[in-house]
Amino acid sequence: MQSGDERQNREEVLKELQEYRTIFEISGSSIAIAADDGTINRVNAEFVKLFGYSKEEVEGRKKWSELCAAEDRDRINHYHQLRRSNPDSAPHNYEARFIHKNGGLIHAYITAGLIPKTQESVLAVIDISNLKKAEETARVSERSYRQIFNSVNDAIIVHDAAREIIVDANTKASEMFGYTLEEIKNTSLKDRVAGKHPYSEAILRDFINKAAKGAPQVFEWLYRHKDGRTFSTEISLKDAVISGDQLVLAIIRDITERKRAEEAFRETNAYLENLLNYANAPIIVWDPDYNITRFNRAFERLTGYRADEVLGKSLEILFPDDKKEDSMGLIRRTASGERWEVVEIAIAHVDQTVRTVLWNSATLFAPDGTTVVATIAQGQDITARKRAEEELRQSHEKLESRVRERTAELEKLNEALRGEIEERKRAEEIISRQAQEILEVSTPVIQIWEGIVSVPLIGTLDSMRAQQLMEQLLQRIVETGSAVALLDVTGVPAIDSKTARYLIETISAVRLLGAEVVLTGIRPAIARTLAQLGVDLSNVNTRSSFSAGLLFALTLLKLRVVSHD
Amino acid sequence: MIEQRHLKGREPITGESISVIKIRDVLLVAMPPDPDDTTITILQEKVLAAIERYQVKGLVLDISAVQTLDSFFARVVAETAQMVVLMGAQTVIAGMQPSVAITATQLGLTLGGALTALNVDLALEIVSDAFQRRQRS
Repeated sequence: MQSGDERQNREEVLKELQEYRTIFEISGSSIAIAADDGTINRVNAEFVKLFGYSKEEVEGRKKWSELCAAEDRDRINHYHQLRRSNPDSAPHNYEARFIHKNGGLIHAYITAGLIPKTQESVLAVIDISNLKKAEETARVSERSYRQIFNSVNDAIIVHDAAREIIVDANTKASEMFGYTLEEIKNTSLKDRVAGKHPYSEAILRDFINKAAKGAPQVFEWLYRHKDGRTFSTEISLKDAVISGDQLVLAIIRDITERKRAEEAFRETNAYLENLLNYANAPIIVWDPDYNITRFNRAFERLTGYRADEVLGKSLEILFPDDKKEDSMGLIRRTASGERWEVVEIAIAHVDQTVRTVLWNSATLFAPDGTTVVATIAQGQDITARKRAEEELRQSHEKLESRVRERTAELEKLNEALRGEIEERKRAEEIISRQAQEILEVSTPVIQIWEGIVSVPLIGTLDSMRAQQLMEQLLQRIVETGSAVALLDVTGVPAIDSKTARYLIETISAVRLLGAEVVLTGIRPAIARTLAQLGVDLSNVNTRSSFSAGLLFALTLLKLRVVSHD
Repeated sequence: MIEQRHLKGREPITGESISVIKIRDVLLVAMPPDPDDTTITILQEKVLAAIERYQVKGLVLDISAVQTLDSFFARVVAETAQMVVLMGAQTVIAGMQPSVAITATQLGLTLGGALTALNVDLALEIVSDAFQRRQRS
């Protein structure tokens, strides 16, 4: 019986053994049984499939640790020994890397245990290579996301809406706020608000709550940096569900610079605006269609239009009717980019008066540099100047004409004077001619007989008359061939020494010609004077009367006056 | 007869530029317009030689062409006249231009004892008158 039992027992054991063997062989896990020294005694089909070695190559030939990757070999050996010396402290499960027959790496999850009452251990190997790979991929992806997350120029903060704490933030966020990532985590997005109205926690919570409910929020916010300064940000909030958590993603952009630029821009703009509006010079801007887009106060004063009356209207309304075409022509030329330096264009006031304005202009181009977007022109009202110039010109003209008049008058006067001078000259000529005539007349040389000439002297005998007398007398003597000249001084009031000398000279000259002079008519007074002066007339033929002289002359010519009786 | 003798003895007297012409018993000399000193001196010699040779009654010096009369000319003429008188003849200066006469007067020039005549015609008359007067006296 016993043997029957025994056999039955043995059969049962055998059967059990058979069962286990079958389990061992068809198990989905790779299973190896390793001896005390680590030699693998038995492997199943799955093991063969996993490691690539055949049963024959492994069983009894390779040690457990030989299959292991070099990095993990020591650890595996250690576990193996530990399992025998102190089974409780040896890990039941562990991960290790193994080497496939073809050199490939196998990540494996090992479940190890000692077979009771033996020193053999059962090692169940689960291939977790794919899992590992997926993990790696996930890690790489995670890392690249993290990198992107960190390299973004905006601060990104992941906020847990329910717990109101920050669960993650990128490096930009820590830079922006001045806290480390650890310091930021688990604080709230609502912390570090600047606190100034309207930047309070309550308002920010509102925004966050709205975002959490699915309404993305974008708003500007003022935060406070760790060092105390405030900085402007633009926050965009959006809800997100990650791993089942209700989150709010906050993308925070530091817009301090932008704000500053905006501020500067606003300032410049305000400055320009004021400059434009309150400048004393009229300034106008028009678009490429010649419609007025800006019109400053000075222009309002210049034209009498209000800016709102003319904005959007054509430039034409500004010009006087008769000059519209010319002015528009000039303006069209600016469209081609021409700049006015100094162009004179008349502007009409609403009261119909015309102002003369000097313009300069500049054309504003689009960023492409060729499309005209606007033209700005600045003017200078020179009406007053023009008027002054005109007045000056008129007064100048008046002056000129007055000068011309005066000149003409002077000319006339001059002409009159010239005429007078001419007249006088003529008169002088007449006088001198008459004087000459008188001179000649005053000494008439008369031939009174064949061979006798006579000169009756009348009036005072000055040197000029004496000269005249001598010339005339000698000339007549030669002409007439007269041998005797009768010189009658009855008409001479007085004879002085000078006159006497003239007479003597005349007589000598006559004698040189070969004629004789008979001096007649010496009155007693003259005779006395001549005697007193000591004038020697001794060798001059003198006779008291003209008739006595004539008689003497006739005698000289051997002629006689005979009575018929 | 005398005239014939005169005609026979008539010979043209030629000098450098002046001819001394004997007409009957008168010597006639025509002065050139502008006589120089040499001409005047030669004239004097020629005249004196002619008077000595022909025994004439007078000398007629025609200066109607002369435009200027200088002191040398005046002096030579005056001297010649004096010399001619000494040699028994008479000198008559004929045809002096009025302008020359005026200049001469103003310069104080005289022709010494020379007689003057308006022209050669009258000069010839004077020469014969003077000869007769001298013969009478």
